[in-house]
Amino acid sequence: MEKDSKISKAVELIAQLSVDRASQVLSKLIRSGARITLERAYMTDISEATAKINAQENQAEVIGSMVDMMGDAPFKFLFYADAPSCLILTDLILQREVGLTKEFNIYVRSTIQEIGNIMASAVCNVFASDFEIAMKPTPPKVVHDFLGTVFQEFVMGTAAERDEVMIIESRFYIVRYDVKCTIYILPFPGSDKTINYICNTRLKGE
Amino acid sequence: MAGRILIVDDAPIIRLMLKDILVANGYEVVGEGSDGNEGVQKYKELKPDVVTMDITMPEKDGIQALEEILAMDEDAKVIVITAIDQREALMEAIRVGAADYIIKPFETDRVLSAIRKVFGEG
Amino acid sequence: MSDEKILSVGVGDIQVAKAPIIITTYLGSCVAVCLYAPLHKVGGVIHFMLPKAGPTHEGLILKKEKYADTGIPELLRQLKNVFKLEKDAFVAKIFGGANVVKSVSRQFGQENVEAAGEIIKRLRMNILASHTGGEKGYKIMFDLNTGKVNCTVFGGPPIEY
Repeated sequence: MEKDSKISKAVELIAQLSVDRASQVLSKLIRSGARITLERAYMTDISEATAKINAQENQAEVIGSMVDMMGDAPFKFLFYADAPSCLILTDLILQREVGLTKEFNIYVRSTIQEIGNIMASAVCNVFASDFEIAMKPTPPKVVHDFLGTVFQEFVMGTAAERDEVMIIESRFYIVRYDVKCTIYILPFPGSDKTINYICNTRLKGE
Repeated sequence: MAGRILIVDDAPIIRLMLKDILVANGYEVVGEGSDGNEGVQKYKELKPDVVTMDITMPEKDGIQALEEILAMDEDAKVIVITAIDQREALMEAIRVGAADYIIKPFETDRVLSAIRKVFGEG
Repeated sequence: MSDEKILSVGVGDIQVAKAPIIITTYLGSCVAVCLYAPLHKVGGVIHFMLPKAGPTHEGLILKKEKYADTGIPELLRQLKNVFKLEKDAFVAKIFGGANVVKSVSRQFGQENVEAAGEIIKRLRMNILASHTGGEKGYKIMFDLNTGKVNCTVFGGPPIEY
């Protein structure tokens, strides 16, 4: 198998395992099934990716939780949902009747904070259990803003190091409550060695 | 007689969830901390029977806070609550002196069984 | 507004166009410099993320549009190339540079705003308007028909500059 194709396969494997595990913990946390409606890993120019996000008219107000996953394969993780969904997620986590939370208070922000923390930790756990790579999350940073603003703050560190990046994107849909949420996982420069390691160990025979 | 518990976690929603579980089951939540520094400070002030301690926190993480609390009081009972489900990380917490650990997302039963075990209750 | 085409600018990106186009972008710590030639109804936007160009930690050279010091001259170069207009034909407006993610130790937003101001001043161009700083994101819509920039800071009303 060609080297580039092997790297793509390695990233796809990371994506598949990470998204599966993230979806499981999200479902457990909110006690409701979270269906994966999109899962893809792709190379993209950061300017184009952010321009596409910025092109969305009447852009949603979102609350996002950004986590740096530190270790031998540093990644950045973003979880976000639009404002109405964040209120619903808060009620679900607290096991209350949906619709009770109406204000964007510290509990709504920390719901998103903690969902980001738990899902990013789940991805770190995948690295540990499936690839034997120790990874730990940093405390999440929560941003309540335009989607375009949240997304560019998320990619900023990587954009300062690269023009093109590999990005893992996944969407979840909580059917019962019509809630959509999104995660992005962005390998930080420095995780190339680890992706190569995964190529050489997990994809050895291919 | 149910005991006195200090909850340390940087997420207010987690502190609320834990408080709801503990108070509903007869425990007294004597204080809350939002990072490792507050956790250590509140332990000194409040002398709780048990502490629940998040690991991933700003300012000072839960493992450092755990070490400092045990240095102050070798009999301190600290239950680590974390989303990091990795053997080495959990073994480190136990090695440092945590009484038990709970993995997030947690169930009510798991929280209660850990608390009861630490209190020596059936 | 419905007849105008909307062009979106991403991070480290430049768009130049003529009326009746509207150029739009969202900003956090990044800054957008909008240049407009009122007599010709043409203009452009650069959305840059850092004040000064330089090699990355791995020694890579990234696109010049990412930086104020290389990107603003590049915007002028593209405007000259496409519309055959020199910098004297243009006026500038500056937006963005917010400190959105509060735990970050270096205040890139503030540095970006200062860099934009210095470079525009060094080029001896007029800064007609600006709205910068704060802790919330910006949405800007630059109407090349009028030269006006509709700027909304998150949580606030739209204001025309």
